Amino acid sequence: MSEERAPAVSVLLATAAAVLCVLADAPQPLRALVIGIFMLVVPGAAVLLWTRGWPPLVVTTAVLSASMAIDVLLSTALFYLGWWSPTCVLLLLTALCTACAAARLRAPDRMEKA
Amino acid sequence: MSRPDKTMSGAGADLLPWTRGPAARGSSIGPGPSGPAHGRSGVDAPAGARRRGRTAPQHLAPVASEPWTRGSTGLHDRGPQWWWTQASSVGLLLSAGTALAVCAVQGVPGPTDTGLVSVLPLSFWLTVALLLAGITISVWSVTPQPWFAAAHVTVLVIAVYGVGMFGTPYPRGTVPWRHVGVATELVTSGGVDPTIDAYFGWPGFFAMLASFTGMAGLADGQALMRWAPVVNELLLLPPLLVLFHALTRDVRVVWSAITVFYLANWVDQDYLAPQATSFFLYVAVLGLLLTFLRPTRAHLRSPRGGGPIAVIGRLVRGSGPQGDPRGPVPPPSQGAATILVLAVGVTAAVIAMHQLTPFAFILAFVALAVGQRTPVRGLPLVTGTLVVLWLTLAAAAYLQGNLGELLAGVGDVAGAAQGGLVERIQGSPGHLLVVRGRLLFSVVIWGLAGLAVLVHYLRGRRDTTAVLLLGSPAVLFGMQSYGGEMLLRIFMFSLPFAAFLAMQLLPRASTASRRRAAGALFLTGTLLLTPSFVLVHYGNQLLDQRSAAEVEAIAELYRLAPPGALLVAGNDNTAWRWTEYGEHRHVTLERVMAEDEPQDAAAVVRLLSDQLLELPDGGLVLLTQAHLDYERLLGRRTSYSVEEVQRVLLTDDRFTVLYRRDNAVIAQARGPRT
Repeated sequence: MSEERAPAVSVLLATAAAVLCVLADAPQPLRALVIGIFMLVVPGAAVLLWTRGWPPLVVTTAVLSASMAIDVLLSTALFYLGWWSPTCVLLLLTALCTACAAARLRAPDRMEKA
Repeated sequence: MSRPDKTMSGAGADLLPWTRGPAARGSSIGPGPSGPAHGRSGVDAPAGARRRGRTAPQHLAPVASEPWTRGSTGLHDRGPQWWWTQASSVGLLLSAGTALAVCAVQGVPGPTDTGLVSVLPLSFWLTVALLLAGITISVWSVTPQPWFAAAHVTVLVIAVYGVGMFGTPYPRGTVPWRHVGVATELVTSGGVDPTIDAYFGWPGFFAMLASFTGMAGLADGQALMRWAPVVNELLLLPPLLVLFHALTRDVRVVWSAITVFYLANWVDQDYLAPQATSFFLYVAVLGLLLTFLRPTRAHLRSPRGGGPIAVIGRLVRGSGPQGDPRGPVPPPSQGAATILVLAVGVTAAVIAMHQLTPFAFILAFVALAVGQRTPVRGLPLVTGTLVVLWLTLAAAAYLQGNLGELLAGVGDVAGAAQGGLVERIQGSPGHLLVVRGRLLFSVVIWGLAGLAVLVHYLRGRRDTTAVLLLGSPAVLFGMQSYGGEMLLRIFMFSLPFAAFLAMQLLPRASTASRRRAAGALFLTGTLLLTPSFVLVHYGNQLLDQRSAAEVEAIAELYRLAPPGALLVAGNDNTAWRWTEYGEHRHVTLERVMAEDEPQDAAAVVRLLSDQLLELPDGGLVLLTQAHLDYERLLGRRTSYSVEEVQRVLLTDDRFTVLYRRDNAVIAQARGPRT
């Protein structure tokens, strides 16, 4: 696996871990820990897969911020639409992260250079 | 995300700001060829030009190695001094960790009227002293060791923000419980009812919390309450590093400022709350904007032309050399667009989460635009538009019922001062010491920042960005009293920049003696800062610390309360509403008696009984030791005391005592309801 693909693969693996924890009803505190890390990191990492050359601290800050923003906006929208449920949130976050990671894996040459 | 391009830093690249090549080791901040010894001034060459090996244009000073891109040293390059620094740092960290563990096991005795400062064990103070010594060695040695600084700062945060939880299974304060209840209410109702209260006009944080607890299989967010302050403070570390690295190349100033920030953040807004997450996003967005969307040489020239914006810009920027656009200055195509989109998205999330922080964002964006610290001028307009949209759509129901009250405070500086200052300066002698300590502490921090600005101004240097962002939150003061907390919030928004500017007062490490002097000054200052911080941060611990008796009594209250019942608590110091948020009306005794103004406790009990019997669903009264402590510490604002009411309640035939334990009482009005 090339270095360029590693982040996208990591996003996919983390997403899968979160889904598995929920489906398998993993014991606490493992489930809470996995979901917490998933919500804090993975959505932001997924949408920022195309960045390159950013310093690690900047990446960390951007990923955390983007993840929180996505979590807040998605959850809020679902509540206002009356569609909220933990399953719906998980499905949508999974779809977003998977789509971003898949797109990134398919197009490694079209990424934005930093 | 791809790893950063290794060619940026040469062989053996380690792309963290704390690993530097041999050339930079003598002065870790690496003076540029045209900069002074401390490497503080000068405009950086475009990162792209450096990477591609092209010579930077003549008008741009070649940059010393960027904090992100310095290569690591080989072991063979490290002399005895380096090894001593490493060994000392490790030793101090391990010793501090041991002392902290001892403190955690010992627990913390019950607080007094001055909180924890007079009761914390020696192990705590030893922990902090060792950590501050470790930070000093890590930062102010010949070659700064940011990894060790990070480790020490991390343990320091755990120590100073976690000590309040040692020895108690409950979180501090009453508000986190309420926030858990808001999230639970969202889950129960499945939608947002903005007519409940203000929380439901800005439900973003609670929606996220509900999503987390739902996916994590938790009943509610109570498990997050206790250690939320430590987690939220630790989460601030990356964006603070990004922000400070965008303001200076001096890694010693960066870590010193971070240490001072953590020892000065007394405002206690880091619990499970929208404002904690919003503040994190505030710091993150500003740090990212200042890193990526930096002014070019053209922007740093004095703005020409007429018009009010240009005039204000010239006044703000002044004519002296601008401090330090540090860090890489990438061309706009290198991440700027992404960061801009991220900034807008994050701002939108904050607008959905919190009433106040969006306005802090707008003020910061305006300040940066007017001061030409960023080439992006449209952010204030975009943010303002999003705020208006939210207020007119999502929060309209809340505004319709409360607009008059919200607008009444606009421009009322005296009123804000009354609520934020005067009304808080009352209570027991111990509490008065805490309140005055908070005022003095804040003045000192701001004063140090102001002194640094003055010293730099006299030396012909400007720290425009930091000054603008230090001062922009002050405009909030005249907007609203915010429940008497506006000054506190202004201090919070300004603190990163105040800490940064205050550290500019330390001597530059241009010689060994000056470096040692700066290190000694830093260590002395932080050692003096720590007990002050504990006094002002934990000064209300007597009120903030929940007891098992109170928590059990409140759980019993909800077990006993009939559906729709009115629940009356002695005062605001009640850790309730974490369940059945929308099921009951929760009020305080003072609120119930507001129109009647009873003269004594007997009148209160009589009036309370009459009012509760009139309610179709009835009501219950809850009085606990926490209410008595609140009144004793903060002073009484009514003609009766909770203690007197409790005494009368226990013997009055109008009430039946349903629960009584450890000075916690739950009573119900006796008699047929009308």
